[in-house]
Amino acid sequence: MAKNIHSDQRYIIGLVNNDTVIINEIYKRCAAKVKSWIVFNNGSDDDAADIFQESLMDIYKQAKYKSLELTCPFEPYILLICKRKWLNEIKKRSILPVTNSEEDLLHIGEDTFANADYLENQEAQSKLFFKAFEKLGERCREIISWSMKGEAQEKVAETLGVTYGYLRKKKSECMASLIKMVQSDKTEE
Amino acid sequence: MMNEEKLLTVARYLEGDMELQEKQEFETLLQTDGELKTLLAEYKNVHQTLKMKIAPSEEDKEVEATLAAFGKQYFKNQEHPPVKVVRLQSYLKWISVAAILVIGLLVWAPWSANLYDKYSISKEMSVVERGADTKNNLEKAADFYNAHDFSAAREILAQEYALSPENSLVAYYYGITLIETGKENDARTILTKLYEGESVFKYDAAYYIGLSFVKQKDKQQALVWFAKIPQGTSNYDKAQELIKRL
Repeated sequence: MAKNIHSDQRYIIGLVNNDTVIINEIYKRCAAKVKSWIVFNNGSDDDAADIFQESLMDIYKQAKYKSLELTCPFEPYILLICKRKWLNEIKKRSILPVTNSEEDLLHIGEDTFANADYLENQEAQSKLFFKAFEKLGERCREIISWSMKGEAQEKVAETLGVTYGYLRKKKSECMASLIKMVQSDKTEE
Repeated sequence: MMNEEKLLTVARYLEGDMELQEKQEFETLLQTDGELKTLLAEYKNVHQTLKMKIAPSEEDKEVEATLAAFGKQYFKNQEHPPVKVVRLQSYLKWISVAAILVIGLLVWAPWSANLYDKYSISKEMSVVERGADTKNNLEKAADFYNAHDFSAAREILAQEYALSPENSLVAYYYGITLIETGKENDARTILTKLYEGESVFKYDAAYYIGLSFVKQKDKQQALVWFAKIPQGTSNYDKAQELIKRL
C-alpha cells in the first residue's frame, strides 16, 4: 500500500496497545451507527455487537502481526468493513438485505474502499493458507502450531517428545512443504 | 537451485536452522537472487498470517476481552449503565477551536507570546467511568485537571503513578501536571520513560517534553524533541509549526 499514513492510525495503535481510552472513543464514535445500520438490515443488537467486534479484531491482528497502515480515515473504514461483513453474513443465513449493497456508500472515498479491500484480501488469504495448513500431516501441524506459540524451542521439543535437533530440522521441512502447498493452490486457481 | 531446494533454504534461514557461515552465504545470495527474495517475502507472509490464526497470544485475548466489555456497554440497552466519559467539554471540539486559533494567530498576529500555552494539546483529561456513584482517584484527578487546578491533580496523580508506574495514561497526565507546576525536570524523567516505551502516548510524551523546554526558553532542546515526532502522527503538524517558529 502507498505510505501516506492517515493520522487516524492512532486508533490502530490504541487497539494494538489495548488502550481503553482510545477503544472507548472508537465505540463512542462508531457503535451507534453500526448498530442502527445492522438492525435496519434485519440484524439484532447482538449481531451488531459481534460484527463490530470481529471487524475490530481483524484490524487489530493485521496491525499487530502484519503492520497494517491506514491511509484513510478510520470511521468510514470500520463502517464499510462492518457493512460488508454483515452483507456476507446475511447471504449465509439467506436473509434479504434491505439496503442494496454499497449504494448508500457512494460518498465514501476511493482510499477507504482500497483499505477495506486490502483487509478483505488478507482475510481471504488467511483462509487459503489455513486450508493448506490443514492438509499437512499431523506431526507437521503440531510442530508448526507449537513453534508459533513462541515457546522456547527446547520446551517445544520436550513437549513433543523429540530432540531439539530433530525439531529444528523438521520445522523447516514442514514450513517448506506448507509454502509449496500454498503455491500449488495458487496455480490451481 | 530448484524452487523446492530454495524453499527449504529460506525456511531453514528464517527458522534459525543455519550455522553462521551458511547464513552469511545465504544473505549474500539474497542480494542478487530476485526469486529468493520473493520466496522470502512469501514465506514471511504465510507465516505471520497463519500465526495470527493458529497461535493467538495472551494479548490478543486481552484485547478481545476489552472489546467484548465495551460491546456489552454500547450495544445492549438497559442491561448495563452506559459508559460515561468524565470531561468538561468535548475534546475534539476544543482541538479544532485551538487549531483554528493557532492558525489565525500565526497568519494574523505574529507577536511572540506564550507558545507553551498556545501549543499545549492535552487541555483535558478524560477517564472512563464505569457507572459507579463514588468517584475514584483518577476521576478526581481528571476533575482537578480540567478545572486547571494542576497542583491538586498532581498530588493525586503522584500517588497513582507510585502505585502503577506502568500505566501510561497516569504517567502522561502526571508529567503534564509537573510541567504546569514548574517541575519540568521531574516531568521530563517520566515523559522520557513514556517516550522510550511503546504506549499510545509515545509521541504525545515527546511533544510535551519539547513544550517543557519551550516553557523554559531552551530552544535547542525543544527543537531536538519536536524533531522526534514522525510524520503521520497527530502532533506532527503542530511540532513542525513550532520548529519553524523557534
